[in-house]
Amino acid sequence: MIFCLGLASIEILGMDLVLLLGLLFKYRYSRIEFITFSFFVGLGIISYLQFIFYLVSVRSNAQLIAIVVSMGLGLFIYLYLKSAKEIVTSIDGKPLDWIERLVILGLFIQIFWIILHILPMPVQAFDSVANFSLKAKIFYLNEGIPGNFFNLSEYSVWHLDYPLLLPFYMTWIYRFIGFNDVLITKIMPVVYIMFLGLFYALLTKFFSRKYSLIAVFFLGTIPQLTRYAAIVYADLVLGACITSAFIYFILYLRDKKSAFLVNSALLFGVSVWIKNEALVFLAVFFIILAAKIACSKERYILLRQAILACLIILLVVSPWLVFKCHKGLINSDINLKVLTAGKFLKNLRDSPILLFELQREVFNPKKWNILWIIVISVFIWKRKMFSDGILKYAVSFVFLALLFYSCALFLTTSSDLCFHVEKELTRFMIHFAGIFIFLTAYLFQKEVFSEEIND
Amino acid sequence: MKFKNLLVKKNIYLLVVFLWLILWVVFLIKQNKRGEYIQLKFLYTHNDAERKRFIMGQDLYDFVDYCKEQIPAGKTYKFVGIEGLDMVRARYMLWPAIMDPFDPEFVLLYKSNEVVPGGYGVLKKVNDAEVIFKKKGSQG
Repeated sequence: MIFCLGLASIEILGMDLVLLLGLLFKYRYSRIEFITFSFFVGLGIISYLQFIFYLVSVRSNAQLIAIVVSMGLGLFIYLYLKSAKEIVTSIDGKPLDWIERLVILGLFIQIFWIILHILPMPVQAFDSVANFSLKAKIFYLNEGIPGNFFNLSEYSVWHLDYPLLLPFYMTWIYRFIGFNDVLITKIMPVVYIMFLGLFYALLTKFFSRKYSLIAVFFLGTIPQLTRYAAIVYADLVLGACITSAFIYFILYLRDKKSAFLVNSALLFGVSVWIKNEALVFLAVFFIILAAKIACSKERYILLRQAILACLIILLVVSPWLVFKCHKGLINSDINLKVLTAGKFLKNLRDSPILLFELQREVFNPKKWNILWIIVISVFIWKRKMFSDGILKYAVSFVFLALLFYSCALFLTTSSDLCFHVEKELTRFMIHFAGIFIFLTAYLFQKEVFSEEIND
Repeated sequence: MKFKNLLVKKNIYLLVVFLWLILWVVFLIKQNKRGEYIQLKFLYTHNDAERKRFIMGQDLYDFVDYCKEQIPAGKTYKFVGIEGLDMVRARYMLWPAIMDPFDPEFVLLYKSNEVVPGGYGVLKKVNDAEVIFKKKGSQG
């Protein structure tokens, strides 16, 4: 119950900002979109707040959290009473057909299965204990980030350069439930459910309800994704934010509504608080946005919107990135400073390992079912559509992100490439899974059941 | 021709969905190599402390738990004989004591033949293979 209160407080803080954005940009959210989008925005807000508390040397103890949540609740009640009817619309009231019911049942079984597995499980996976849970324990016991935290050695706490959203999320919940590293693991199924909800809400802006539900079912039942919903790793959270930000961005490219770009920018900004890899997506976002402006006839309007998006991203990411640069925090695995020409060439020569590992992932139904086989087949089949409308931007986004990502991850690593690829590739694919399912659904939508799909 | 084409595509589509469903159900039910159902059964029938003990390994958990009582908060330690996943779990458990492999105040020897460097004396002994050493002359 108290655990749910912790989650509700994140929701409320997120809803405050989402309602404000809805009012400012005259955007109407569906109910599912409102709840799920608010959750991810809320995660960003609590991380931002806890980090600012550290910067101004304020202890983020239970009293302070209570004040913040009370203020958030007051603002929420005011905004909700004032504007909810204009901003939040009710869901599609049509009765569900048997396929939709079956899909929803399947998703419920999957969610139940994840909860069944995670319910008695303490934090136990490697990175979860070594990185996120240890940091959360430190922040909780110290009522915030300790003053000397970023001066600790790598032996005491791993990866001090890692963004802190996940430890902050855990610490926030600990403030409600007390230190309980068995109960805390339940935060991950919440992320999973919110991800599926937001993915569905965004897909319905492109496709019919039935088609969207089927796509959500495919995403929600990927074995590797469900595995990551049962361990406290940041990859699922990053995958959720990146996928949603990407779809909002495609919606913006289609409709040119400021609200979509703002939502996209906000989620890309939040992603930078989750994992360093988000910077790759952020760079590609800027490149594609610049390309869209350059190719558009309404250059002036788009430029204004782009400046707004840049300001939002700057506002969201700057405390962490400026602090990180100021402190000189660098990653022990991927580090340009230790990269030599010889190491770079060796990694380049070893790059076939990447292809070998990639095919092992792609053809591994235990991890991915037949997802990548479907994706590759549809991409080859529909390759002629790549130059059409928004697809050229969407596909460019994905391929640029893949290229940058591969370069950043696999060519600049200071450790052994083989070890690194084996460890990282599967997570890297989680970040892209939602985006590829969306694109595959988009490419495939007019092919089969065209009448049913577009009803 | 168009109808035939549509029928082929529809069949492919149904085949893909069917294959997905089959694989989903198989990998949903199939337990992993480490025997997750046996593990789940244990976890569901025990309390939180026992769950953690089971996950970490009973001997190691008991030793680290004992060390936790002996090492004051903020003091430094290093492990001898605990590595990899066991090490990160033990380090997590021992915080607010801080791991420092170079100049620790405590050395925690666990089932290892490695020789503890000079300058450390035995503080507590669980048994011959599980010993806590303390730096001679250190406070706390």
